[in-house]
Amino acid sequence: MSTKTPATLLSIPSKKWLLIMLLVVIAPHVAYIPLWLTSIALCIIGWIGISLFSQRPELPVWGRRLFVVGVIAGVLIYASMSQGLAGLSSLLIAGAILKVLELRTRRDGWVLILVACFIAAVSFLFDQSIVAATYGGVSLMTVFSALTMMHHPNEQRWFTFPLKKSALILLQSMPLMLILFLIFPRISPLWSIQYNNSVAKTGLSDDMEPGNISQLARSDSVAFRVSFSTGVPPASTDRYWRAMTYPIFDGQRWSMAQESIDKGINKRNSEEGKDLVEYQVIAEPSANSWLFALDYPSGVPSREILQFSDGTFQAGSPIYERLFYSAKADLSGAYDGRPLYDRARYLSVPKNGNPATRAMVAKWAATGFSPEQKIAALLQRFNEKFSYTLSPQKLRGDRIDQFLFTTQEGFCEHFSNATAFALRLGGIPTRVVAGYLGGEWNPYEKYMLVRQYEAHAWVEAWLDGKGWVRIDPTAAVAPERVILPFDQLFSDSPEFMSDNAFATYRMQQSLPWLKTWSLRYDALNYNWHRWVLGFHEEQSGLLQDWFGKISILKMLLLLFIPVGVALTVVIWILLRVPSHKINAVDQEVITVSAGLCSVAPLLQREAGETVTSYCQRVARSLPVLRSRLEDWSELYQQIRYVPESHQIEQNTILFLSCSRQLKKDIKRLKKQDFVRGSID
Amino acid sequence: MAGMAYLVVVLLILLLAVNYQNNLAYAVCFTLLSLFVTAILHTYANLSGLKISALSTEPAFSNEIAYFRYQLHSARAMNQLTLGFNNNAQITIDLKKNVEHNIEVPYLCSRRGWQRAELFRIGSLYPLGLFRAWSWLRFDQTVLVYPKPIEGGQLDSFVGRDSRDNMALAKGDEEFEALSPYYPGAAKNSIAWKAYAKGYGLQVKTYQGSASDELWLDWSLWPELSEEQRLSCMCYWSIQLSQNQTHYGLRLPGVTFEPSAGEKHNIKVLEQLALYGIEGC
Amino acid sequence: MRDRVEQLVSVISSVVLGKEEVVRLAVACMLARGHLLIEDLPGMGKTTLAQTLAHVFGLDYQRVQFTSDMLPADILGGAIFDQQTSSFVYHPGPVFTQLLLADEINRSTPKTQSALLEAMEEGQVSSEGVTRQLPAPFFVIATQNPVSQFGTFPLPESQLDRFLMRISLGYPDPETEKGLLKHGDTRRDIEQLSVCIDSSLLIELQEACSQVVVSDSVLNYVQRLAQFSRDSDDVVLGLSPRGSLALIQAAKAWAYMSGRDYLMPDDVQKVFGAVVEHRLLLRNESESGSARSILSQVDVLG
Repeated sequence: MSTKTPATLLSIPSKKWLLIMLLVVIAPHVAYIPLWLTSIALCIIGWIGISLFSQRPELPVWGRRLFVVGVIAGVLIYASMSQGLAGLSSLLIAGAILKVLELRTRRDGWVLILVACFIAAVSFLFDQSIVAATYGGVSLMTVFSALTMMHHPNEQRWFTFPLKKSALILLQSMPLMLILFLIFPRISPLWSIQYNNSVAKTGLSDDMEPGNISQLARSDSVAFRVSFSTGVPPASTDRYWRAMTYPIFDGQRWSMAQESIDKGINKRNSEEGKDLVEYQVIAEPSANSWLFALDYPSGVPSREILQFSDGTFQAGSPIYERLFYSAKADLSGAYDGRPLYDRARYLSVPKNGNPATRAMVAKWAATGFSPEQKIAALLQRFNEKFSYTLSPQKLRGDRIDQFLFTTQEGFCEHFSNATAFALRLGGIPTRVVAGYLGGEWNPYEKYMLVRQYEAHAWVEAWLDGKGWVRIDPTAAVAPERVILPFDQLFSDSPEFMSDNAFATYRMQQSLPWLKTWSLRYDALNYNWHRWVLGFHEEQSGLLQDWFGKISILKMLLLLFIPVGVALTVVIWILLRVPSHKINAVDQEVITVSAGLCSVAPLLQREAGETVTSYCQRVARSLPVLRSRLEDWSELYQQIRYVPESHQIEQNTILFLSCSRQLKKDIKRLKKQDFVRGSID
Repeated sequence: MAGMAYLVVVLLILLLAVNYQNNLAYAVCFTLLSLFVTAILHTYANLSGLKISALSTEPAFSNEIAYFRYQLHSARAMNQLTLGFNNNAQITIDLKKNVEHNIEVPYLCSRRGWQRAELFRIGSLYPLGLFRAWSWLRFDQTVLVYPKPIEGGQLDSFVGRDSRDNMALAKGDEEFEALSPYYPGAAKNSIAWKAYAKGYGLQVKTYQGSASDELWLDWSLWPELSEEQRLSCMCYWSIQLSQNQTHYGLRLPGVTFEPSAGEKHNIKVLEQLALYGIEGC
Repeated sequence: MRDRVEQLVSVISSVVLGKEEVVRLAVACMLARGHLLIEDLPGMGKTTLAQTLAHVFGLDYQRVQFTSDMLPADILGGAIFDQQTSSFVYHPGPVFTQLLLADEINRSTPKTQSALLEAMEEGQVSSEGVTRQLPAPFFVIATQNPVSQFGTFPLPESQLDRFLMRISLGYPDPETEKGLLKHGDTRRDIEQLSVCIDSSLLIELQEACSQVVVSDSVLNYVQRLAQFSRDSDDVVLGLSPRGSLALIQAAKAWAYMSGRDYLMPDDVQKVFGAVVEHRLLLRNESESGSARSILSQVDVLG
């Protein structure tokens, strides 16, 4: 066109839809944008919405400009002060609502639509749950409803029509979208971004002081989920998940050492490879970098996971998003024969303190106990006299003495603390291992769910010729801690889980179906995390599983064949001339006619033959069927030709049963071959 | 334009998804992209299978808008079809399925004579406005364009006699020539009432008038005007006279229409004026 | 009331021998308030049927034999100057009756034909600026010779459209013809026939016929038939909306006569030929069974 067409103005329904769209798209951001912006957005949308229905005086131009400048300044200040995404979303939203102020032409509508698309995409950076994704789908639908309305301004059914249309288009786009989602190569980030999300640090801490872990027992939040390649979980006594080891002890607390990355660990027994368990972990965001390894790790974990010589894993950076990795473990924990480096570190204890313990250990040495005997003696002592509780008495002064000889009650951290100290005194290299013990097996999706309250601490001692040996003093005190699920063990203890979570928990215990549903819900979440949110981790493996080795040619074929098929189907649907649906009752007639045709070709109904005359004709040829055909055609007449009859439903039922009988009769006739001869 | 902006936004979302390794943002990006492709199909389908047939057109005056009429039919419902000639107003319609829609597409006629229908465009942005499906159509269709009626030139024998009765007198109480069938609007005093009473029906007496007293739209009436202006004036007068039910004739170089009255005569005259001096008439 | 209709049919059939189907159609046409065109070769009993119908319906009737020199005034009537009162006095023509028998309508000039057809359409006659209402019910039963006969003016399509039905009697079958020959002309018996229906009952019957209910599926069927005739390559001019309306109207009467108060496709099919055939302009005249071929090609179901 050589002439410039005048700008198309937006119709009122289009404006309504654009406002609805904005409301829907902005809603999930409310938690992240400043309150004043939310209220301004609501005011503007409300104001414009009202003025759609009745003429309102407009703001003077200078007032509007002042307002616009004010909002922009406010948002810029906010964005520069806030970090990362909240600023971005505030900027986008401010831009969108200011655009609403001058919503006049179709062009303005387009700007709003495009910004809304972007806002909808940004909202996924805050929340990626199933609910958020569903909501995202809804907001995209409103976006395209608004767009449809913009391009069909005089549609009367302004609400339902664009909704239906956009839902249809979205639905038709789904196959293509899924193909793209599956095939599109996931590139690593183009530039690094700081992703400072407000994930509170949860889980184990970098050092262990008595009380740290029992604190965790109050939380039922998910630490990580694991699935096993075999689909079978390890026995409950083997579910030790290492997170950290604490070699350094200052008399009060155990803490981590700066270990160097040990690439040699995979030599441990990968060539033997006998009892390896392969598993995949989805770690929840924890703002920590350490990860979980099934005791005892073996082989190389998947990329980007650092592996340390103490058998722990770490991510390259703190985990702010769910992290997916896979690894292997050797449950037998056989010694690979490597010597112990830095023996002194594992033996160092403060010079003073805890005299009673020192005396006890000295007594062992005097008796001439071997390391194994020392360990056995200690564990036996625990087994005989100690009790396992989530709420031990407070310890002061020489805590280990106090624990071992006075209070004699405690939690895993108390036991491992005392054990490690005593063994070090006894000349056995020892370290404390923090991690998780147990996990809830989800039978629906075959994965294990490990929660924070399953946090655990145990001890590893170096025995010459055996290497690091796991000693779990807690198991000596309370073997049921290892065998039973933790929640069953402590469900009566008031310290177990925070109050509100506990109420839910109680309810789950009393109502088995609730438990089932919560397992199923978690299974859904698991799949969601694994297959959707973590798809970039799964993609290459999945594609290889399905299509073998990936080549460029294969990728192109994979892209174009399904896309071609999907598009062909869509265009076929679109270009199909809608044919009217055959009434169910008419369909019966067609079926019966086909049946009779197979008895004798002449008995097929002609196109222009009414049901009545057809039945009369058939009855002449097949007098056996006469009475049934008469009933049948009479009912047909009543249903199809007598409008507003009260008996249509009843007649339809009768007709269908009559029809069924008729078909049976026809089948019987078909068997009797003589009929064919008599008609043809 | 909108489509390009849309693709830019898709690209931005893709960048977002790549940088944040966010699979849901990927999903949004791919949804938008697939929608883009699906929209092509929808827009195409919104025009595909449309049947257009040309209908007859009414003549128009030069510098006025002629309406080319078309009939649209489609087996599927089609929305927001925009039709129009280049540089002319566009019209937008929605088609219901299996219903014939008659439309009139405006075309500004610039000069008299036969005006051929130019290429005209049918297009649609529906449903999402990301694409425009369009097609150029040319029908072998013509519309007759009369000269633009311009008031001007003095018609001596007409001007100055304001009343119609005078006009009738002007036709002359000359010698009676013949009875002719009644035509609507014939002056009452020229009707042969006697014949009517005898049951011969309404008939009109015509008289042999002298040439000077008859109304003639003559080419040589206004020598001061240019050809086109003359035609325009004659057009104007033809309409005026015809509205007054006056008998008048037309004299162009090479063409003479005997005086007559009525709409048919008017149309004949206008046609002649439209085609005067144009090849093929 | 239905027995009266049956009685009527049997009475007519006693005069028009062996043509019960045609007789029923003719009666249905009257019940559907339609005008009837009977087309056949001379001597096939057209006039007999028309006269019988007029007689048994108990209507007040006039018969006009159309000739080529007839003028509209001969039918509509006209103003005649009355010397005494010195004014024009209107003399109503034969059209002012309940039933007009227009014999051999295609013998008259188109002008006269159209004068009559105006009266059929409007139910009134306008003459000299005065509109005069025709009596109700008002029927025209016209007979005509097939167009191929010499010296006739065929009715144009637009005017044929005003007749609800066009029927033809055809040759009698051998049995009937033998009986006919034995009895001689039955036309004399017409005057002796009993009048079965009076005009008030006729109006009641017509009302009852229009009360016959039509379901959506039958409406769809009629619509499909009309659409098919429009789309068909063999048909130049398909069935107009007025044509399909007429089809339903006639079918309703047929349904009523068949003792039903609802319409079935069977009724539509029964009257289809009579209602539709004269409204279609076929590309190929020799294709006689076009109405039948439409019926056989359009699916009743759907």
